[in-house]
Amino acid sequence: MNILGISCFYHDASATLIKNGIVTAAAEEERFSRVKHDMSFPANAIKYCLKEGNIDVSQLNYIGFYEKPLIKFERLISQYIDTFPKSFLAFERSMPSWLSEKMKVESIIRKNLKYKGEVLFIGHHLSHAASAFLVSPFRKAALLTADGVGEWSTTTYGIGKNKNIKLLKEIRFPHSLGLLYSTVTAYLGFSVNNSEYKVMGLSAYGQPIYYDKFKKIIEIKDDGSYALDMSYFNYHFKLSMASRKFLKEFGPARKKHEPMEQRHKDISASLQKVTEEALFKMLNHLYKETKCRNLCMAGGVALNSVANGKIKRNTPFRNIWIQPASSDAGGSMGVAFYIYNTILENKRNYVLNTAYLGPSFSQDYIKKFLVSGGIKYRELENVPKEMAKLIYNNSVVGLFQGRMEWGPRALGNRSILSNPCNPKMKEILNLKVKHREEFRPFAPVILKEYVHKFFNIDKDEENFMLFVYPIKENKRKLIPAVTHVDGTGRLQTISRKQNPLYYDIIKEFKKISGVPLIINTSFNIRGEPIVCTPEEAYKCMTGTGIDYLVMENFLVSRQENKMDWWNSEKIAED
Amino acid sequence: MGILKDFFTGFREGFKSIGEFINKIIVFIGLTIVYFTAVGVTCFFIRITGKRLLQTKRHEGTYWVDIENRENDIEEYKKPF
Repeated sequence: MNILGISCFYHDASATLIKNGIVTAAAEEERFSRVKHDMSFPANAIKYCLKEGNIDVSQLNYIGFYEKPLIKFERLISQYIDTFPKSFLAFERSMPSWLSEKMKVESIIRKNLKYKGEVLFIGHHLSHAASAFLVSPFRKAALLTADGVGEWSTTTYGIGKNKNIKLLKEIRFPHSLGLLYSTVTAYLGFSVNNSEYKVMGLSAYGQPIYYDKFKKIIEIKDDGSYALDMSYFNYHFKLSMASRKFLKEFGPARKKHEPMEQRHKDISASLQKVTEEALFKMLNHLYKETKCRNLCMAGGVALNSVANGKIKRNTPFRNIWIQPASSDAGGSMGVAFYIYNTILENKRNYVLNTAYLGPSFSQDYIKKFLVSGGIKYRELENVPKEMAKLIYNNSVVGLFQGRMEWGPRALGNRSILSNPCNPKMKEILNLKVKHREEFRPFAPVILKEYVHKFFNIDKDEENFMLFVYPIKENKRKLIPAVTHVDGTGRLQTISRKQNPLYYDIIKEFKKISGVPLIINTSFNIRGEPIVCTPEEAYKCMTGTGIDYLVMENFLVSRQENKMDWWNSEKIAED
Repeated sequence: MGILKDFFTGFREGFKSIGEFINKIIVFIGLTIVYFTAVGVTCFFIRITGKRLLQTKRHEGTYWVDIENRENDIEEYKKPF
């Protein structure tokens, strides 16, 4: 049985194909269209999924969409009515896209794909919950979903048992923890639905001295339910997020290119504190209701890796599983599994323990690309050893291999790797390659067997880089490039079984340096999606300061090829 | 021929742009009418009855709201609402 899940028309459009309850392919549309967080109909991602599954549209048994669009429309109209006449501009701006496509999801799917079978619609938060629980290793788990907004829900909790999911309670729009975070993101001069993680990174530099002010904005009950004081916000009737009252309370908003002041850092820290407080209260309440020590989470708020790393210390949950594509992209996976397991009552037979679900390119393809492009390269006999040497000698190396990652993190197949022991490496990566804000940390990937030697971590592995943990004090000076200002790191652990080449590179690096970890950052520049094809990887290298590119076993040196024929810095945007 | 082709291509594109511009104006006018009649009038009646469609007021007790779980019937999922 073949089921295609689709999410689109808000942000992070994606497609997932499952065959007999096992993921065949999953990918975000942005990787193909090269438009970051692309929200359009994921025609390219679908085409890829069908190709990977070696099927055509006529062989699909069901297509699932990750929302109930008309309920969402009802919520929008309710907003406009409730806030009339202030909602005029938002109404004018949003209606054309609703009338032309968002209301016609089914006909768009049928028309684009020439599909004649069933189309099923699953609620937004139900899709999130399914994306976490039905592919988790748990047979029973407490479920929490939290994001900006779906149809009406902004936060939900429930319980999953075997193949069934029951959402019990919700917080309804306009009260939203996700939108509170997005409001501050916009206030600090970053883009909404994109840069929330920057605010999270910035929070480590500040003190939560604005905590009391935030407590005026959000009332959090002991059971974790919360309500916002909407006089501080505009988002329920306008295209902007923060109201004048918010600006009066916190001072003028930072403009995009203005310097980051201590005040901004303190505001981030205060927001993070209040977010964690709400999250932990919710989770403690959820535990009381479910009495289950397994937890599954999804939704944009579940990408708050700083908070995720503290869950075990602050709640009774002992086993936590978070969908790696926790934003709306994950909805396509959730809806596909919900149809297969819950609606059609098929047995669960899959655990998502890898993110390598996207396109791959053969050795032959890569070689043909290199030869036809006149690109100078050499074949490596021992890739791990030679790559480790380059990294140890402070080169910045792009690694392109196997299937592209699902979700926002590069986990070793579309990654840029470098030396964590060099105190200047963060600066080098930021200036030469990533063009990122200087306050943003870089993440470490560590051999699984050494994780307890370097991190104060409450589990043995972290596959998807979704948790931040303190680095042991005696190790911080050894790996300055991945130690954030507060002594933490958002780590990924790797075993040989998961990714042999990636593992062997780090192992070889350890032989030379004594350190069983390296820097892993996504293979892209700021504002662009992670590279998908060898062509994009090569282009990224030539316009940045990446010194070497390893594609499968081919080594391409930037120095030996045409370089600086385009300037990545010019297009590096938020 | 080349000049003629360029002329007609430009002509067609120009007309297309004008068409799109007119379309935007018509959509704007149409939506404005809908907004002030349908949305405005509904708002008026709802306010008379003292109801609010968005619950923005703080209150005692929990903010959690029960979720009505639908039957696990495939027909329910065929509806986009």
